[in-house]
Parts: sequence; C-alpha cells; structure tokens
Amino acid sequence: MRQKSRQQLRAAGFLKHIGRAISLCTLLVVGIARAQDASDPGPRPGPAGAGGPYPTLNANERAFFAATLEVFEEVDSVSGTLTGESGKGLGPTFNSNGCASCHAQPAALGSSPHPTLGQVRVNNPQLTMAMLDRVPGGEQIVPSFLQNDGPVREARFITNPDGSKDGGVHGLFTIAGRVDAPGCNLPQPDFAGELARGNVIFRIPTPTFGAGLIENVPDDALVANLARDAALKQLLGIGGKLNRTGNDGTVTRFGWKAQNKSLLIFAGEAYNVEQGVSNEVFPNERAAVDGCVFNGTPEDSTNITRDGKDMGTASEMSSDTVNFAAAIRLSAPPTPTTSSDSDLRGKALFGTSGAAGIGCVLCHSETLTTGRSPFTGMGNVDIHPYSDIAVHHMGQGLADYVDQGGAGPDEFRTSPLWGVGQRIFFLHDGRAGPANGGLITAIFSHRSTNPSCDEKQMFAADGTACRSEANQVIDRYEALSTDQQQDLLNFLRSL
Amino acid sequence: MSFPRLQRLFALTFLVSGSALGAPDLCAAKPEIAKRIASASSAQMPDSASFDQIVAPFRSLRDQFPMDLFVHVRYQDSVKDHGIEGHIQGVVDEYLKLRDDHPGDSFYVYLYGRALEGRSTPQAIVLMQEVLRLDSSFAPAHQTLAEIYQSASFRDRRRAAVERARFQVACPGGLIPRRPSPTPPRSTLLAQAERLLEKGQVEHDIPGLVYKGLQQDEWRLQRIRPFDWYTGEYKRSAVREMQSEHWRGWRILVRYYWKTEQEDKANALLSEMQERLLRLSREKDADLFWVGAVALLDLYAKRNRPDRIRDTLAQLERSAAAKPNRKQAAQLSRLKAKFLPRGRSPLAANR
Repeated sequence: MRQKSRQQLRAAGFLKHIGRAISLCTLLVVGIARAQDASDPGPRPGPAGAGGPYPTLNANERAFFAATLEVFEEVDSVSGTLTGESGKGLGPTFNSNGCASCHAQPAALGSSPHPTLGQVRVNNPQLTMAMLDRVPGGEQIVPSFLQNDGPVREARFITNPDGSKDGGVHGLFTIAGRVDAPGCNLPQPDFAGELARGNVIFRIPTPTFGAGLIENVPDDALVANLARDAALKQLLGIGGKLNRTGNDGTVTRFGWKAQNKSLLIFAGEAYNVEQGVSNEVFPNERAAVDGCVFNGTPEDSTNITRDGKDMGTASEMSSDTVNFAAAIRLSAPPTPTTSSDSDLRGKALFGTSGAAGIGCVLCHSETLTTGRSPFTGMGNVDIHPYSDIAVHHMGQGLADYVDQGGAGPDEFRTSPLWGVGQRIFFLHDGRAGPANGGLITAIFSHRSTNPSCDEKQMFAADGTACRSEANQVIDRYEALSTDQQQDLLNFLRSL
Repeated sequence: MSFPRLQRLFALTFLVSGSALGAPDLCAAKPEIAKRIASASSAQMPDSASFDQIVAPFRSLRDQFPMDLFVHVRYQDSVKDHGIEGHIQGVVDEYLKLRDDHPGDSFYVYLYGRALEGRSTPQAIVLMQEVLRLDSSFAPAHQTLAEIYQSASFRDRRRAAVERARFQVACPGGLIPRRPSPTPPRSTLLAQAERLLEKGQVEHDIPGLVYKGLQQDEWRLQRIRPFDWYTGEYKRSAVREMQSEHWRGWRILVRYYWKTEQEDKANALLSEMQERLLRLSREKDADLFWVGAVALLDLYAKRNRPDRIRDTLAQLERSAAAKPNRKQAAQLSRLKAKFLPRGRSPLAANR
C-alpha cells in the first residue's frame, strides 16, 4: 500500500511538473501573442494643439473669442454669492458647475479629463460636486457609475415609472444641502434603484473644438456627402441619415444623436441640463420645486444695460449662452500630427476621400467644406472632421433606447474623430477608456449582431437594427495584420 | 317730485348705501377675520420652521375664507416675507390663474396686481388702474398705489398724496403701510462663532454656527433679490456683502480646524480659499479680491507664513498698481505695516 502510494505520489509530482511547464509555456505563448497584438498608444502627449481661436480670425474676432472663452470657464453657484463661483443659476439639479469642468481635455472646450493621463490631469470633477459648498450633513451621494478615473457622465432614464418613454437627463446632484440653497430639500434621483431596473443610460461630453466649422457646412453639402460612394456603402451595409428638425426640416448636427440644430441650441441645452441654468434658449427651470428656485427665469440673459449704463463689449452684453456658443464657434479644430510612415499607412487603411481603405471613411468622412461665413477665413474652407454628421444604426450593442429627433434607439451621429488622438474616453457613454483597451474597445464596440434576429430581418422588436451598419468594416479591421491594425490605431492617435 | 327726479334719487340712495355697505369690507377686516389673522400671525414657530410650516396657517385661513380680501392679502405677505423666488413666483402664478378664471372681477384683478407689487411693480400699477376702472370705489387699489408711490424705488410724491387722499376718503383713518417691509437683520451667528473662537471655547459647534449663519444671510438675500423694490445696485451690494461673509466664514472655519487639530480639513479649506482667490484675481472685481486676500493674510499671519504673506501682499500691490485707487493704496500701506517687517516691499522680497 505504502509503495503504491509512493508511486502515485511520484506520478502526481511528475504530472504537477508537467502541468506547471505547460502552464508556463501557455503563458509565454499568450504573452508573446499579446505582445504582438495591436494596442492603443493612448492619448497623444505633447502640446494640446487645441483650445485656441481659429487661426485666420482678425484681431477683434480673436479678442471676442478670448472673452467668450473666459465665460466658458466661469464657475456657477446658486446665486453667485460664492467667490470663485461667481456665475449664478446652478441647479436645482445639475451635473457639474461649469462648462470647462467637463469640457476639459486636452484644453477647455474639450472632453472628459483623467487624473493621470492626457494634458489636463485632474480628478473627475463630478465627484467634487457631492461635497462642494455643502453644509455638514448636506453632502450628497456620488452615483456608482462615476469614478475618479472614469469619464464625466450625464444620466438619462429610458422610461418613466409608468413605462412611457423618458429619455431625458436626470441631474446627478441637487442644490439641497448647499450653503447657498437654504431650505431646498430636493432629493437626488434614486440612481441605484434605476440602475437595478436597467433604466439608466449615460452620455459623456462631446469635444467642441472646431464645431463652428461643422455648423457652417451647408445642408446640401452634407446631403451630397452622404450620397457619395453609395454603391460601396450599400455593399457594406452602410446607410445613415441626417437628423432633421421637425420645425423647418433642416439638418441638426450637434450632440451624440445630432439632435441639436445649432451651437446656440447646443450650448443653451447644456447650460440648462448640465448646470441647471435657465437661459434665453431653454428658459424653463428644470426640477422647479418652489423651495429650490432662488433666481428669476431665465437666469442667464442678454445684458443690455446695467443701472442705465451701457454694459460694454459684445461679450459683456451677450448672455452666457451666446458666449459659450461663440467660444465654440470661433475655436480652431484640433491640430493633427499625422506624419510618420505608420500614421500614413494607417490613414490609407482608414480611407481617404479618394480611396475607401477598409471603409471607416465611408461614415467618418475625411473632408467637408464650409459655406460662407461672417468670420474671417472660416468660409469655404475644407475641413477634416472625420464625420458625415449623419446618424447610423449601430445595433443592440450600443443602443441606448433614447429617441432624439429623428434618431432612434440605436442611432448615433458619426462621432467626429478630429482630436481623437488626445481623447481619453470613447463612445457615447464612455464605456471604452484606458481601463479596457481604449480605442480598440471603441472600434470593436461598433460591431453588433442581434442573435434573436433571423437572416433577413432588419429590425428587432425593440426598434434596434439587427446588425450594426459598421459590422463589415469592423470585420475588415479584424482581418488586418497586427501591424496594419497598429498603423490604423497610430493614425487615429495622430488626429 | 317728477318721476325722473325720484328715479335719480332712488338710484343715488342705492349707490350711497351700496358704497356704505361695501366700503367697510374693503377698508378693514371684519373683527372675526382680524382675530383669526392675528392668531395666525402670532403662532409660535420654531427657528427651524420651514417655509411651508410658516405659511400654512395663512394658507388655511385663505382656503376657509376665499372671498375675504384681507386673508388673501395676509397670505400673500407671508409668502413675500418668508419665501424665496420659487415661492413668490408660485403665488403670482396662483393669482394669475384666479384672475383668468374670473374675468373682469375687480377683486381678483386687485389680488393679482397686489401679488406683483414689489416684484413687477410697474405692472402692478397698471393692474391697480384697471381695478379702479372696473370699480372706482375699490379703495385698496388706492392704498396699494399709495404704497408704491411712497416707496424709495417708485417715489412720486404727488401721486402718493393723491392716492393716499383717495384712500382716506374711502377708508377714513386707514393707514398706508411702508413698503418694502424692513429686511431681516444680518445673522449674528458668525460674530458669535468668532467670539467663541477667541475665547478658545472650541467645544461648541462652531462650524455649525458658521454654516447656519451663512444660510441665514443667504436667506436674507432672498428678501432682497426677487423684488424690484430694490435697485440693481443695492442688490449687487447685498450680494457683495454675502460674498464677503463667506470669506469671513471660511476664515473662522480654518482657525477652528487649527485649534481643534484638524489639519487636513484646515489645509483643504485653505487651499480652496487660495484657489478662489486665484480665480478672483482673473475677474474684474478688485474689491472682492481684496476681501479674500485680507482674509488669507490674516490666516497666514496666524500660522507665521511670511512667504505666503509676501506673495499675497505682492498680489495686492499688483492689483493696486493696475488700477490706482487712494483707498486701496492706504489699505495696502496699513496691511504692509501690519504684516511685513518695516520698510520691505513684498515685490522686492520676491525678486
């Protein structure tokens, strides 16, 4: 018995050695394979290359831009009584207290910052909102979907408690418990409960550099661009449509679903929804519980005179909203650094206006041309936003089940890729970022097939497309060699 | 007596008696109502009473006597005296609806106009004139117009005298209240917190006093900001006072945290104050920048931080040089004398 068991032990020990050796080999093989995988180079270091005025503006326009950018960087409190937060109108509900707190990376007007990556290294500013200016005991809960190294987020509920469609933004914080909001008792929404119901979707701030150029591309040019390469698009299952306003039928173009017609509307909506500031574009106070309304509406308005005196400059006379829109409108697009051989090979694979490469460019259009502009040098110029400004069906994988204008539950605007080289978080909800592969996760998230659909079925019962319009292009990306994939990633990080 | 003459006499008698019957209802509350209003007004409320608790007795009275002018007026006053913008706008909306539900009824036009008094006063004047067109015997409209014309912001002595006289003809002995009613005094809690801190009585909830004091003063500001009784300049100066009060509060808190050895909290608040001062330096508000800088100087001196004192004085020196101003130059000299060794310029020290 003893002998036998010794033999068994020896055998077991041998097997253990073999097992360890196999494990080690497997690890090495996997390690080598991993080392050979393409990887996201991460946010491009060096100068921001964004955040300044459009280079051809004249001196007056540049001065105006500088003044409006200062307003963009203003911080709000409830009634403007806290120094350093001299803007007024915060709340009753809000997501942050200033445009530039969220539109931060790689410079003001940009997108979500990160504490250790990128040009602007700061903690997620939204976490501070639960504590800032609160009386003892007035602190609020940081919702579980906000992390210090995660993206800035707004939350929307898909449905109302009665099951009807909601889709609206629900402010993460309220002014209840702030020192400048005595008597306000408005509670935070029950995000934990809504998350448990699967009723919450997120959006992250879109970078706004150069958006004045996009605003200035005529509708006809967008229509023509969308119609270009029709046969190839059809072959690859790419459709797309321009979102349009129900008011005059013209193209809307800003926001994750291209739901906003103009930068003024975009800025007005954001001021109202993200900071709770009623304004001349969105004059209603949100969540207007009487005991939490401390200012007359609209809280932000044109300042023609003050005590009978002229207010001064155009920026001073304009509302904050007009200033925000102007700062965005007059800003330069991000400066690309596409120059290395790898960048250029990647660019060819991505596709250009002349050759489609693997087809990314079929939606992420390389070039659009602006119409006439009142601002010096901004008219009739070729721009490279890498977007067709159209909305496309992305399938169930990205669907957020929110309808905005003509954009349905899984339709999203082709995100402009200029400046993507310095972006930290990707996709409408920031699901792709440094913690999970960054750009690579973002690319593969474009692919989605609903397994419950049959082959000929176009749409699932929930209104989402059975297949993402990007599926075949992502298949082509996957079929590239590792080096080619890396070239393409390098190109994207050069934008 | 001819028939038409008799007819006129009857008509006149009817008008006089009608006016004599109706007038007292609009000049003073019936004794029963007056008693109920007095009782609601004297109800003891705890310091922590919410707006809804304070207004509830007046709202209840208004709901019990919906046709009594005086309960409506008292209800409106309670909201204006205790509510914030949202509540006050809520009352305006409420009386707008009542007016719209009773077209051409002078009673509701008056109440809507009165809800706007002190808030959109020019519109309140228009509505009072409309009331008098609808019913020239509606004495409270003269009273409201007199209140408005004798107020500081809408002063018109001649019109005030005319409306006062008309009101007193209709309601002999009737008074014209002074508008706006006085604003509540500034909170004394910050001063109390400072005294406790000076005496080293840190076992008291000094942060609690500070925050409560700041909230009381923020609340006081709501007695001013929603009303056009006050000029824009006055409102801005009230906001300025509040901004200074926050600096005072933060200064007390930092000192309290030091005394109670809560260094982390003190450092966090101090760096927040420094950040706020930095932002202020970019704004055009030099006066407030000085308030903040002086608060920080005081704290640096208490912690013996000559480097920080020199930096802050240098900032003030630059601010004074940018916009030369005799008052600030004098203040800078005083601050230098207080915080710097004799004869040293903070800018020179930084070179």
